[in-house]
Amino acid sequence: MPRTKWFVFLVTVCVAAASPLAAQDWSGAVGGAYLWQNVDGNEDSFRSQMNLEEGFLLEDLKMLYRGQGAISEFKIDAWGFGDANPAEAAKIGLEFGAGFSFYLDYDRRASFFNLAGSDLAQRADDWDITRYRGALVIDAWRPLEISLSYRAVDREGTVKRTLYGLNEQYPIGIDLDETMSEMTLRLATRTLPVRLELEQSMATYTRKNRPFATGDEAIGGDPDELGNISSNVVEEMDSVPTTRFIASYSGKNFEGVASLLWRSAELDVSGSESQSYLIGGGDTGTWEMVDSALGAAEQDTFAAAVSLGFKLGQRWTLRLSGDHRDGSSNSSIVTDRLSRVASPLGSDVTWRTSFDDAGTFDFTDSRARLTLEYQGNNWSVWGGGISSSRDVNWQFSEDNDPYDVQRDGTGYLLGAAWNAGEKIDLTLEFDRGDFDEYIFRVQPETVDRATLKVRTRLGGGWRLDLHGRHVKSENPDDVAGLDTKATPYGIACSWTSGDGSSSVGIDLEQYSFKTDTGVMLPSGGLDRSIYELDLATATLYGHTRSGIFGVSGSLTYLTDDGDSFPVDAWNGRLRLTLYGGSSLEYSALVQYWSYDEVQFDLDDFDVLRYGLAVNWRF
Amino acid sequence: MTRHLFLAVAAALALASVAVAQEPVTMETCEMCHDDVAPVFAAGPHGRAMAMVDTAILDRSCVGCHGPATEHIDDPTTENINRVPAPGACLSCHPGQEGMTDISTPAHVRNGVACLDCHGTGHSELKTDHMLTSAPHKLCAECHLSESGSFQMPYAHRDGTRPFECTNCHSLHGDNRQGRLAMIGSGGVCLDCHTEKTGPFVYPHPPQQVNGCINCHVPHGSPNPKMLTRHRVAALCLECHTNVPSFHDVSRPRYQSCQNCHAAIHGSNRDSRLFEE
Repeated sequence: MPRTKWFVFLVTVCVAAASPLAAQDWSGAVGGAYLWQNVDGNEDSFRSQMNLEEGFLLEDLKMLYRGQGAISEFKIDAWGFGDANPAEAAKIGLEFGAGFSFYLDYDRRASFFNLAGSDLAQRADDWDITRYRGALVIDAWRPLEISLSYRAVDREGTVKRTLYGLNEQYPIGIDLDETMSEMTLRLATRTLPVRLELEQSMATYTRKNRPFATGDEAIGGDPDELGNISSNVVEEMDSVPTTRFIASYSGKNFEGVASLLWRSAELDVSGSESQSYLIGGGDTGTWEMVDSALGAAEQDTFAAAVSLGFKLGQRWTLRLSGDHRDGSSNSSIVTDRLSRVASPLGSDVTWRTSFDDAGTFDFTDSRARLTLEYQGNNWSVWGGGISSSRDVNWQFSEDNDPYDVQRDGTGYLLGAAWNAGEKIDLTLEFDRGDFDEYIFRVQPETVDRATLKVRTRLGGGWRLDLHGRHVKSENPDDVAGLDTKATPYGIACSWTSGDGSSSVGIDLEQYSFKTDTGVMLPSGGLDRSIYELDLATATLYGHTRSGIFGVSGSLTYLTDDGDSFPVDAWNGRLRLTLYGGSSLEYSALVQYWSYDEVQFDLDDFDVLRYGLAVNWRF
Repeated sequence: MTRHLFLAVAAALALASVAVAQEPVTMETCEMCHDDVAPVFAAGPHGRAMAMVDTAILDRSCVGCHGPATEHIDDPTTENINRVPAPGACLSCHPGQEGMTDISTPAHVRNGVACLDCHGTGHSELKTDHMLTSAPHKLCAECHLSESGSFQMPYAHRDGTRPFECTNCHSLHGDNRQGRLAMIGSGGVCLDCHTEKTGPFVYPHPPQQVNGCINCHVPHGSPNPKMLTRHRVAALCLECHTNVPSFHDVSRPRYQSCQNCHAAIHGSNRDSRLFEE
């Protein structure tokens, strides 16, 4: 259902529901805003980050009815509708006293991407993901909860990118038409000592993406042009069954959860694509290529996971967790390619080739972790070991050699925590992993990680928190010569008044990251790929209310001084509220963003956004 | 008849699990003094959920959380009653997946993070899901500062000016895997929304199949477009691909972003070189 219809539907439901319930026990809130924005700089860059626009915004729509009649609860929760926000969501819930409930969820997120200064500049995205979920939950019979749900995901919109042909790149557009729908039956026990859940779902996936010639000039100055591009390719998976079983138990001295999953997916691809190029604008001739394909892929996955926790007496806790995944994929494709060069006089030369190809992709993952913890009166220490194994066996194409690698890993962790009641708690943890063999050359041979967290409540509403982590990973020079160090750390200080009417705080974060990897350039030369971040973020925030006036806001400054791609950015928000009579609130909003790339300025922007909002709580 | 039998057994089990089952004080007794609290609780989501199971649970809910109250009734001071529910009080009724924090998030347990640090008691009107006292991103940010801060990056998961909720991807209780797809492979939780990348593909991109989305993307936020782990796309690709044919002249703009040609980076159903999406 298009978004406007959804919004009208919501309002209609609200009005229809509000009328008979007006004299009943219902409450809620509704608030809307209108926002204007001034963009100085690259608006597409701003949209790629925030995707905000001018217009109306539904800030909040909540409606809640609770009663003792046939309907025990009716709830609507919606936000984001309007042109101003790229995301919107609505939930409707109906609970019947007879022991069943109905839920309907909707959300939509718009994605935009178009950066002139990026090396992804030749790609532009403008699409939406829309999700619907409806569920009927029957819990009239206390021992068993039964739910039947339907979920649908649609992706629609356009991607513009380049197409490689005639030794040049040509811009094309792709109309996206991707859908997924899924029906699930879920049974969950509620009164047995061991809680059992069984889920059975059936899903279908379909992609009918259609390319089109945008009519723009070729990138690179080629005088030829893409005359036409078309496709009738359909990719679909019908009836993908997934079965999941979960058993969980929680008792005084034992907690455990085990889950099993099995999924089988079969993909079918059929259809043809054609491209034609006008050489010399068509005066010299045309080149046409038709690519018909019939492809298939099958993937079976079995997965199991278990987590167990044992209390061994008053002080000791033993935790065991493990999981195992076994997946196998087989694919095949048969193509028939036709290439034709035609002169304007009518003669042509045609080449026709066909090929069969097949591939396999199998993997087995296993992982186990054991920790033992001793708990004192206000402190604890723990330690444990980790073991993992990943076996990958693939043959990407019949043109490639089979690839079979098993990568094993072992590791350990040590930690300590001190928790002095409400005042302070501290956690210190160190873990290390050692691995052999490499599925990909950039995988580490060793990983060391140390983490420190301190939280304090200083009294009088003050809090001071510190945290830091250091992660280091390496692999040998004869693999990739990888050397990665990451050090995020930060401090946060805040104060909240006793009644919660005022607060102020500051967060300071620093993130240093450097990775240095040996690479082989296409020319055959050896080089290093070095990526470095030196990010600092400072956020000041607060809110207060005095009488009928309220103010809330935040201001964030972000700077990256790393050598790779230094950036400075600001964002701030301020909301002034006047609390009027009849639970009405009138607000003025100001929002600000700036983004400044040090090396280039094509994607820089400064955006001021402001608006007025009215909210009513009832 | 069977239904009533099961209801009776369920109610009996629930009542038996309340540690103070022998306590004679009911909500009616408490309401004699706390007439501003008890009716609000009974009408709220917690009270109604109790009543749906059995009204007897609601009747005994005050002592269920606050402990024995006989002495308090004789001498109503704050010294002889648990003003804040005793540790374990919540789990006496929520022993299942909701209570499995000791194995799924032991750090919460170690640091004294308890149920009521995130969830309300039901005494005040909470319109949030799961009776949370605030939006999930605010609750999590109180401790997970670094993760919260990463959503301030230029490119991040966000819902416009509204923060992206942690619970969209993370689950705290019990089975710590959000969805069915999460069990299929690494990055599965991403595929709950980005279903078009689920596969299988005729020609998959192995890193996605083996390591998942985080092989190339930063899940919370990144200074790089598309939330990639590197600013230069070619750098990301060349760190793995060591046998790129020599005609790829990386000094030319065309070859600086591999995706210009190898557009089907998540997998192709047409071309082994991942040319076509």
